[in-house]
Order: sequence, then C-alpha cells, then structure tokens
Amino acid sequence: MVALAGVDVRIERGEIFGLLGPNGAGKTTFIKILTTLLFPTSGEARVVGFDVVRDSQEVRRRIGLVSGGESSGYGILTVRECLWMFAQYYGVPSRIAWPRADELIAVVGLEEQAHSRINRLSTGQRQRMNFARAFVSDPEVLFLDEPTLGMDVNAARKLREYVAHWVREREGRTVLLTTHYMAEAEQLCDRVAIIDRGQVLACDSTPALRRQVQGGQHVELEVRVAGPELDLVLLSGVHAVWGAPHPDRGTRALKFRLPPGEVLGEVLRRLESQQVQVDSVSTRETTLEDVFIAIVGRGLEDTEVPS
Amino acid sequence: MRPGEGLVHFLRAAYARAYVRMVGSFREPVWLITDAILPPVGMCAFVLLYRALGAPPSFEALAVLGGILSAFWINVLWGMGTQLYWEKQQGQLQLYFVSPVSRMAILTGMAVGGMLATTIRSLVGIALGFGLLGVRVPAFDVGMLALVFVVSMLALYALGMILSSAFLLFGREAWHVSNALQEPVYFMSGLYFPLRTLGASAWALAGIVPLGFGVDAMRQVLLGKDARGLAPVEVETAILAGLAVIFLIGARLALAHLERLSKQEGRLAQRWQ
Amino acid sequence: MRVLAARLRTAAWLGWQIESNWAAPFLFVVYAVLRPLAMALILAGMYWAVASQAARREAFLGFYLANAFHAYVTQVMVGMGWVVVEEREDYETLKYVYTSPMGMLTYLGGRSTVKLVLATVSMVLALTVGWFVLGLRWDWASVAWVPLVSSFALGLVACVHLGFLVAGAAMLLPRVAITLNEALAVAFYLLCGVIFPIDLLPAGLRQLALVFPFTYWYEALRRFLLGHGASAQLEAWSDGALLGVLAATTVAFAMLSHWGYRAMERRARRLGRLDQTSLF
Repeated sequence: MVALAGVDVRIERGEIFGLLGPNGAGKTTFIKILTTLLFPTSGEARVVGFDVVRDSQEVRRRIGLVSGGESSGYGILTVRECLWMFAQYYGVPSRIAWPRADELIAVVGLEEQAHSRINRLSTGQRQRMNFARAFVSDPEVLFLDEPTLGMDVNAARKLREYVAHWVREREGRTVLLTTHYMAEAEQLCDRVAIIDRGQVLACDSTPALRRQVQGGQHVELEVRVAGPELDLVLLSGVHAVWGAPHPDRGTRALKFRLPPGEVLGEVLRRLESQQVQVDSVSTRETTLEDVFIAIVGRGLEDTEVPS
Repeated sequence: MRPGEGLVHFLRAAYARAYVRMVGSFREPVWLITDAILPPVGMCAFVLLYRALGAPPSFEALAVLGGILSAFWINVLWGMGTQLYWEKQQGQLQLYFVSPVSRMAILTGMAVGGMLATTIRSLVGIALGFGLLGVRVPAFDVGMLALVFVVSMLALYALGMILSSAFLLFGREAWHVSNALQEPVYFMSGLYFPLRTLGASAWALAGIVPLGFGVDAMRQVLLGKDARGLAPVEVETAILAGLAVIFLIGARLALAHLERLSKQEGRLAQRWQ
Repeated sequence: MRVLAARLRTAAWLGWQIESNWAAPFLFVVYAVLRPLAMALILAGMYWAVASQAARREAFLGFYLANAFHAYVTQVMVGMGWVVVEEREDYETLKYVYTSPMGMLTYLGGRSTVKLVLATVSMVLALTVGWFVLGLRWDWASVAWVPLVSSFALGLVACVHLGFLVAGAAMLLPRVAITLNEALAVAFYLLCGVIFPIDLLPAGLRQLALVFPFTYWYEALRRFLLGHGASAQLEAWSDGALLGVLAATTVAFAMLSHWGYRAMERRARRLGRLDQTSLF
C-alpha cells in the first residue's frame, strides 16, 4: 500500500503550513517521516536543515509533536510533573522547566488541575495537557497532527490562537499542521497543501488557491428529493456535491460552482425534472472547501462521485 | 552538544523516568502491599517444602535467598523488559522516540526507579524468612556479598535492556514469551535448589541468564560448602562482570538496531502490534 | 436458556480468540505449557537436591500432585481477574460488555471455559511428565474414583465462583488489580498447603487455611488418588467428613462470591471505575 507518492514540498522557516486532506490521505504518514518515527522508502526529507534519517537526533532536539486525540501520560503524575518530566527528556534544566510548565498550564487553561493526577483528568483536559507538552522544550518546529480533534469549540479556538501567537512571538518558529477542518486551515495557515491518496495536488496560500477556482458563483441549495437518486451532473461542467442534511426540515444541502456564463435557471429546471424541490438558494464567496472540491473532485467527507 | 552535556542530559532523563516509578510507589501505598509484601509469601512455601521433606536447614536459607532474588528478576522482566511495550500501549513510546532522550537513559531510570519496590520486597523476604520462619545462616563476608550482588545486578539489568528491545520488534508475541520466562528462569538459575543438582547441564543453564551464577555465588558467600556451589565465587563473579559488559554493549546495539527496523516497518507507535 | 447458551458460547469463542491471538500456535503452546511445567521441574529439582538426605518420596508425590492441580486456581480463579484487567486496560471494552444485555457474569463464565481447558492441559502435562520423566507414580488400582471425581468437581466450582469474586475486586480496584491477581495466586499457594502440609504453618495461618475450600480440595485429591494426604491434622478426618467440609466451604464461598461480586460491581459502578485505566 502506497501512503505517500512523490510528495515534494518546501516549508519556509517562520510559516504555519497546513496539510489538508481526508482520512487516509497520507497526512500522518508525512508527519511520522518528518518527526523521525518512520523511514521514507525513497527520497529525502530535511527538518531545519538536518536529514531525518541520517541526523535524526539533531532533528529531535528541535521539534515538538502533538497528535490529535492523544490520551497518553503517566496517570500517577500530576499535570505539572508530567510537563516537567518531558522537559527533562529534552535536556531542559529544572529551574527553567518548572516555570515553563506553569506558563503552559495557564495557556491551556489547566491551572486548577495543575496538581491533579493525570488519571483524574477528563479526555479533553488530557488532550490540552498533551498540547502543552509539545511546547515544553521550546522547539523550532512544531508538528501538529490534527491537534484539535475531539476538542470542544472554545478549547480548539484558544489553542489555534496560541499557535498563531507562538509563531509570531519569535522569529524562526515554524508549524506544520495537518487537519481535515477547512476552517482551521483557513484561519491559521500561511500556505496550505491539499493532499489526497498520498499525493499533493495543490500547494499555495489560501488566497491564491481560491483564485484558482474563482469565477462564476458558489451556489448552495437546500433541496428536498422526492424522486429516484439524483444525477449530480447537473449541467455540463457543473458537478454538485451533497452537503449537510437538515433532518428537522427534511432537506439537504446541495453545493456546486456555477461557471461564468451559465444561468442558475437552467440548473433549477434540471433539478425540477428530477423531482427535486428547491427550498432555498444562496450564493457565497469561494472557500477553501470549494478549492478542495474543485481539485480533489469531492468533499472532504464525501465518497467519490462516479465519473 | 558540549562535552559533558550528554552525560547531564542522560542523568536528567534517567532521574525523570525513575521519578515516575518512585512517586508511584508512594502515591499508591496499596501497591506496596500487593507488590512488595505478598509476593515473598511464595518464597515461604518453598522454605516449608524443604522443611516438609526433612532437608538440612541450609536448604531453607537457600530458598530464602532464591525468593529474595526472584524479586529482582521480576523487576528486570516486567519493570524493564516489558516496559517499552507497555509504553507503546499507553501511547508514550512515540513521544520518547520523537524526543532526543537516550533510550538507555529511559531504561536506566526504569531500573533505578523500580529498585525501591524491589528493595522493599527483598526486605520483606528477609523478614519473613529469617524472622517469621526462623531460618538461620552462619556468619558471612558482607563486603563480598555486596560485591557479588552489585555485579549480578549489573549483568541482570543489562539483560533486561536487551529484552526491552525484543518487545519493540516482537510486540505481543514477546510479551507471551516474557510471561513464560518467570518460572523457567527460576528453574534454569537454580533459584530454589543448588544448580549442581542438574548435573552436566548446570553450567549451560546458568550461563543463559546471569541470575544463575549470581545466585550460586551469593549462596556460597552465605553458606560456604553447604551451598554446593558450581564453581568458586571468584570465577562466577568474573563471569558475571564479563556478562555485564557484553550485555550493556549488546543492549545499546540491540536498541538501535530494533528501533531502525521498527521505523522501517512503521510499527513503532502502533498499539497491539 | 438458549439465549444464555448462545451468550456463553460467544464469550467462550472470544476467550479462545484472545488467548491465542497475536501469537503463533507454537508460542501459544509454549505460554500455556512452559510455566506450569517449569514450576513442576522446580519442585522436582528441590526434591532431587535433598533426595539422598531425606526419604519422603510419598510426601513429595502428594505435593507434586497438588501443584499440578493448582493450575486451576491460577488459570481459572485468578484468570477471571485478568479478564477484567485486559478488557478494561488493553482493549478498553469492559464498559461495552458491561452495558450489553449479556451481563458480566455470563461473560466471565464464558471466558472462564477456555481457562478451564488451559488449566486442564497444564495439569495433565505436569502429571504426565511426573509419571514418565520423574518417576512419580501411584497405584491406579487403589484410586477411589467416585470421591475423587466429586472432590475434583467441587474444586472447579470453587475456582469458578471465587473467580467471580476476584473479578469483582479487579473491577473495584483498577489500580491494584494486576498485582492483586498475582498476589492471590501466591497467597493461596501458601495458605492452602499446596507443596507442604498446613501443619507447618504458624498457628494463626493454619486456622486461616482451614477456612478455604482449596485446603480440603488438595487433601481430598491426594487422599483419593494416592491413598494418603499430607496433613497429619486432616489425616484424622474420615472421607465423608473431608468431602463434606469441602462441599460446605465451596457452597459458602460460592454464596459469598456471588454476594461479594454484586457488591463490588455496584460500588465500582458508583465510583465510575468500570472504564478507568490504571495508567502507571
């Protein structure tokens, strides 16, 4: 099984670089190679100028890693002790490690749990502790592998804000973030690479990616399907994808990009002929999700549309 | 890294890992009862077996010593050998391998940290054997006993470091093997009977796990001729010292080699592999 | 009844899958065979070491025999505690089993069938090695089959029911469950006179030994298979008295285990320990 195929990416010092793709795209494999957990079968990878295979020890001194949904930790230790312990593994003296642990505990909002044992934390609290752990060594490069997975909205927002602040705080700090949350990539990343089935399909800043698919309108309809399964090729060049269902209203979102020159009326007539009732119509700006759909051919959560 | 920084980092990491073990022993005092007090009870059964068979009293002392030393083998097996496997199960192993910490430092910390519970277990064994059951030993050379003990432990714990590498690669299969290695090692090491009883195979069996030579040498220091030793104490101590060096070098090589293999196969961070 | 049988079958099937999972068949056999065999050889080594100086061969035969049957205590009784530990710590499925209609007791009962099989393999192997390799033999003609089978069956009942108690303790005490399981096996090894007569125990421990069904179980197995026991105190009891006390203590412990398991399960649920890992 090929997890990554011909990935060729350069991440600049000081940037927050996003890797966006569905489950199984190869994001975690990419991170594992860069964090020296996995050998590439071919090719070369360097982090802060050091080869991940030949100079793995030099790489490790300079990086931190957070994996989303992580619940690791020695239950018998307190939050504070756990952060101190990992700082020791990075050679941080105790006189620096303890105050740094206290700062990070405040950042992730665990002041009340600082002296609580890890096995008494909730899952979300443990995730926040693991997030703090990655910063305890003050790394040059931070790898965030779906760091907000399973977190509540407020906690996720605060962590994203901290990441942005952390990068800007000192020159040279770099972040590689993998995510399948479009909004997270859009909010945080200077550049985004779209990856699917082990291949990087596009890599640029979010505005530049949006420009690639701009032109025309992004339309979202709320529809009610009475007839047989809908043919999602609405017009030549207009491929729709399903969005979120609205079970309380019995409708579902249908999204597509209408190229310049095409008329919405034609699409609506086509839908009517397939016994689709349209409850509402809205148009909006191009988003990263639109870019993703245009490049990959389906939504992040969708199965493949048959050609 | 500047000269000396490597050693400081090593000691820092070892202390941090030992801290987890030591703290755990005090924060869960019930563990001291179940981990340190009840296991030496098994040793009492062997002492009473010798008594039931009408064996000379020196055999009872032999069984007490075996029980005390079994605690160290259990610490080597479970506190070190399987520990990296459990770290993998808990999700910690990945974090260790992403960090610049020396794996040997982590294992050293585990060994040192585990010594607390092991020492308590040994003291309980001494109290039960020499106190409750009234087993007696003649006067012995304390310095010699300490020397043989330290050399034995070096060799034993170095073997434990090699075992921990086996788990990285073989995962749960090695866990089964380790689970099966308790009583067989007690037998091969002559933990509860003189190795000489096994005849010609005694030397070969004693060499498989350093525990055999260590037990035999310590018994001779304690009991003299009544220990029915395999070889002179000095010879066995020298063998143990040699094994310690070989195992330490082997442990370092094995850790590096198996980490490399695990990274090639991508199994390092995966649970249940 | 059919639903119960189906659930027991499912639990037994799962037990088999787990016991043999992730290991080549060879390793599985090694694991199931090597430990009890090594234990038997340790005893044999201890006997050989003193054989020239002591002549209590018949006594040793009784100890060897009881040690072989102790496999049921370690595999079945303690094994049920291990089931809870594995389900909660390794697979994190205890909460799902608990909240399913199957019920924990049925589940544990099903899982224990595999452990019964493994214990039987260990026991037969130890006795076979003793017979053919170590020369530890008895006269088949003098075996009292009916009381032997009866006492064996009673012992199994005790193992299974006490296993429920151990499982309950494992549910209530996640942080000590692992070491508690091992410690219990050792404690019964000492207290119930497996490899020595209980007469050698200090007075207080001797009284405690007389509480447990396993003490009478080992004596009964020795007496009905070999024609003699190990304990001078229990030797004076008639066959009927020995069997009767074995039955009475088994029933008493079965009832205690049932009540104890329910109490500990309820408390574990109240304290939220059913899905709490120990994370040391």
